[in-house]
Amino acid sequence: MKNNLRGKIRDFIASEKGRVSIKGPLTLGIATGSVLLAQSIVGTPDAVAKPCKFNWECPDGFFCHQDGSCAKK
Amino acid sequence: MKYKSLFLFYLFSQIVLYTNICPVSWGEAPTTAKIVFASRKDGNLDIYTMNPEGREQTRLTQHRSVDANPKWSPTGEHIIFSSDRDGILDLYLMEADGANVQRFFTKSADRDTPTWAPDGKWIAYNRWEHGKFSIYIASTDSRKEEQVGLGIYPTWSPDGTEIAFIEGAPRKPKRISILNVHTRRHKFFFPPKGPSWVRYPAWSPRGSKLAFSWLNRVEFRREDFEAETIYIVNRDGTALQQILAEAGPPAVNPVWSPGGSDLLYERPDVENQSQIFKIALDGNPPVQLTESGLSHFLGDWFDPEFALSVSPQPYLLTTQWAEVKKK
Repeated sequence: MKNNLRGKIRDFIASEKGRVSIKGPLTLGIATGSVLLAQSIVGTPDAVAKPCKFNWECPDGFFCHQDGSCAKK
Repeated sequence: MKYKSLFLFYLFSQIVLYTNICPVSWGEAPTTAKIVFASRKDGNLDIYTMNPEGREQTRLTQHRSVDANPKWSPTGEHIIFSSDRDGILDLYLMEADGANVQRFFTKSADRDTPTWAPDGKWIAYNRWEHGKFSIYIASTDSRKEEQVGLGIYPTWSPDGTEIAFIEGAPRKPKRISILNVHTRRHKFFFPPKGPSWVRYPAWSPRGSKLAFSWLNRVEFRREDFEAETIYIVNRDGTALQQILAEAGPPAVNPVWSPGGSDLLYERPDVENQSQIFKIALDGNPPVQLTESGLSHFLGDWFDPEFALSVSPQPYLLTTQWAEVKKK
């Protein structure tokens, strides 16, 4: 019974109808998901690294310079 | 039995009423002048207080996370500060002795640089979102947020009508702008000719002047960074005054004494650690208040002699206390 059902699903996915309704959207979904994941790791173009505002935001011995980044004296 | 039920109902309703009216618990203000600051003297960054001579240093927070940017409430009963103790830099409130630390907002966000309105009923602060710093205000009762501009370092005027802040894109020259709290409109204030390397605006206690740090150069060059120093300018843009020479390490983050006679600022010591200095505006040389070899950061100054919470009156665009102080 189980094998019969598995076979039917395999046949459906291999068929033209299955390709259009299951395989195509699944491939598209995986591709979109991968792009979104990559974007979240790399960062969106307008999301610049947060600049420092105060000296305390920088490690010991470093200072928050006027350009908004931590640098050593 | 009937009276007992009535008494319990009364007690319960009073508790509900109290927690709704007073979401902030009562604290006790210091009875003498105190500077609140952040220090790495016990390892990580925590909040401390000291007297205006740098003595009687007392630790208020004790947490593995960063605790910084402390600001006294107008009455001195509370301190608002930034901390990343819940994973993101956000605003926290505690009593003047460090007790009862609580998150200011229920929903966390990247918030920093808090400043109190003179009536203690509002705060302004920064939020970092979508690659930009925004200025927000929120009531201390409802804690509902409203974005009022783009920029950093907001500082509420002593009469409650204006917020000075630094406007400009990250890593670009900037200007001090002044926002009218009533109309929500802002105007560029300083430098008048165009953006430059200004930051850390601070209102004088009477609201007639602004102190700030300024690297008075057209281009930002790393080798010039030591030229950043403290200036004062009148609210009407006149009488620009350089308080410290450009020579030496950069002097930043001015904080006024409540009487308006002194300024605190941060400057690296010979060991390249940030120290808190005090300078009297009558021309006396600066005094280092904090111990060399460890980093200390400002901060705010409270003095009970000058403390009085005031409510701005929108139709007058002023406060009685600010008027009294001007006289």
